[in-house]
Amino acid sequence: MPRNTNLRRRPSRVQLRNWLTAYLFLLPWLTGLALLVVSQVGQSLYFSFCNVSISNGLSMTLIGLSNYAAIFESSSAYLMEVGEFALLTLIRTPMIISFSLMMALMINKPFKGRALFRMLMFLPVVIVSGAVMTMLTNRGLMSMPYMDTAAATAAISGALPEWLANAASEFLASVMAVLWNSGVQILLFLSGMQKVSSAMYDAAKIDGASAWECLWKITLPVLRPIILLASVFTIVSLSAQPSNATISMITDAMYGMDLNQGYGYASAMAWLYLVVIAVLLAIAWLLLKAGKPVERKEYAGVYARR
Amino acid sequence: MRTNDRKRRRFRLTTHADQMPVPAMIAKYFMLIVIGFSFLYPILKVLTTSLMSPDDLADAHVGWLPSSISFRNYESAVRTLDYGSTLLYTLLLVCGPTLLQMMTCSFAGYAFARFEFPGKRLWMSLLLVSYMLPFQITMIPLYVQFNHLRMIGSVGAFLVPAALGQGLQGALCVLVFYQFYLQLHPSLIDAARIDGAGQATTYIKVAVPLSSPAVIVTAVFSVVWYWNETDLARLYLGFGRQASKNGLTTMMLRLEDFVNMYQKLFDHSGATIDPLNDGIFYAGIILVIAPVLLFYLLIQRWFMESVESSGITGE
Repeated sequence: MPRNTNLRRRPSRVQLRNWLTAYLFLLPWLTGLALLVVSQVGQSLYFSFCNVSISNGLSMTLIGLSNYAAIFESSSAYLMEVGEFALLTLIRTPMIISFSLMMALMINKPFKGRALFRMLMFLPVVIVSGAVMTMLTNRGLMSMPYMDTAAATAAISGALPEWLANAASEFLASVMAVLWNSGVQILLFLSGMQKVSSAMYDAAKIDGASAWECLWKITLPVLRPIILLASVFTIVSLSAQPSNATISMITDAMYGMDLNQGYGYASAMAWLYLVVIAVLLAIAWLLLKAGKPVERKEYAGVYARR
Repeated sequence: MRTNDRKRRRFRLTTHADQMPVPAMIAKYFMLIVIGFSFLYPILKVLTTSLMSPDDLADAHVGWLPSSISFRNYESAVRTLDYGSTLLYTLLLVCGPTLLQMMTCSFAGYAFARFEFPGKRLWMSLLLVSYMLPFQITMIPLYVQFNHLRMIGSVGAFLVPAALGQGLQGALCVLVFYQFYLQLHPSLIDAARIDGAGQATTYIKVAVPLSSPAVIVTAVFSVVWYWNETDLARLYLGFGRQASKNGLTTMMLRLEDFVNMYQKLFDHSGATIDPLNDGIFYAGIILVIAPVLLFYLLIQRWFMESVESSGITGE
C-alpha cells in the first residue's frame, strides 16, 4: 500500500510491476467475471423488459414492465411457489445453522470414534445432494427411520392448540431436510473453530468461566462472520435445490409453447426470484453483521503466534 | 510445588477440563449415533433392496435383508444406464472442469491474498456478489450465448466457465484459496524472492506445493458438486439423449431418465429382462453414487485434515 499521497500519485516501478503481476494472475478470473457474470446479468435484466422471440434468430422488442405485470396477473402458481420458498427458507435457515453449529461443537474436540462421525457428517453432501435426494424423498426413504412421523403429527395435533400443532408438525417435517442440508455448514464451522486460539479459552478458565460461558463469550462471537457466511451459503443453496420447483417453472417458461412467454418472461420470473433471495440475504446480513468489528490485525496476530 | 498443583486442579487448567461428565458423554454419543444412522439409513435400504430378487421384493415377509443375494438387478441397471460409456462421459465432465476451475481459482486467490493493487476492493466485492448470485439469473442469457456459439451439447459449455473461474461454486473456490494463501507465512514467499525467484517461479515452486490442503478441499467440493449437478446438465445437454450431438450425458441425467430408458429397453428385448421394479431402480442409484462415494472414502482423511488446517472460511 502506498504510504503517502506523493507515492500514490506516482507509483514506483516495483509497484507497477506488482500491479501488473497481480492482474496477470487475475486475468482468467476477471475475463470470466466480465463475460459470464456481469454481462450476462445485464443481458438477463434487459431480457426481462423485452419480448424475446427466437423463431428466426434472436429478436427483441422492448415492452417495459409487461412481463412482470403478466406474472402477477397470470402466474399465481409461480408466485405461490416463490412465497413458499421464502417461508421455508426463513424457517429452515436458522434450524440448519443451529444444528450444524451444534454438530461442529460436538465433533470438534477429540473423542473416541471422532474420525468416523466426522466422515459421516459430510456424507449427505457426497451422495445425495442432487437428483438422488429428490428421488429418495419421493419414495419416502428420507423420513425418520425410527419414528412414524405421521403418527407423531396426529398425536401432536390432538394435544396442542391448532397453530402450535401446525408449527410443531412443520418442524417435524423439516428435521430430516435440515439434517440432510447441513454438511457443508458443519465443515465451515469446524474449520472456523480451529482458528479460535486455545489461549483464549485458557485465559477464560483461569478467570473462572464455565464451558457454557466460553461458548457464548468466546466461540460464538469469534464465529460470527462464519455464521453469516454459512447463512448465505444455506440461503443460496436452498434457492438452487433440484427439489425447488421454481427452476423447472422458469425452464418451462423458456421452452413453453406460450408465445407471450419465452426468454423474456422467464427472465422476469428469475428476477422476481432474485429480489426475494436478496431480501432473505439482507435479513441474514442485518442480523449477523458485526456490531463492533474484530480488530483484524490483532486477530491475525493471535493466529500467527499459535 | 504442592500449592501450585492444588491451584492447578482447582482452576482446571490442564486437559482434564475437556473431559465431559459421563451423562453428557452418553447423550453426545446417543445423538451422534442417531444422526449418523439417519444418514446411513437410506443408503443401506437402497443397497439391500437392490440386491433382492423379484421374489423377495414381492414377499411382504422380506423386510430388510434379501433371502438370497442376486445381482440380476445390477445387470439390468448397467444396461439401462449404458454404464461404461456414461461413466466415461461423466468422468470427463467432472474431472475436466474441476482441474480447470482449481487452476483459475488458485491464480485469483493468490492475486487477492499476496498483492495490493488498485481495484482490489471492487473485484473482491464482485467476487462476493457472484458467490451470492443464484444461477437462475444468468441461466437464460448463458444458454442463448452458448447456443449462438454452438456450444450446447458439447463439453465446451462446461469447460469454458470452469476455465474462467465461474464454474459450479467458483467463487467459493476462490475464497478457499484466498483464505489459504492469506495464512501462508509471508517469509516463505520473501525467502524465495530474495533467492532470486521471479513471481511465476515463486508461485509454482513455493505457493502451489504448499497449498495442498486448499487443493484437496476445492477438489472434493468441485468433484462432488459437478457429479451431482443436474440443472445445468439438463440445460446444456438437453432433454434426453437425442438432444446432444455426440451422446454426451451424465450419470445423474441418465438416472433421472431411468424409468423411460428402461421401458424402451424392455420393449425392445422383451422377455430377456424383468419388468421394472424397485430393485432395479435402486441398483441404478447405487451404481450412480458408487464412484463418487468411493472417491470420498479414499480421500476423506486428507479432506478432513485439510478442512481443519486450511480454513475454508472467509472472514
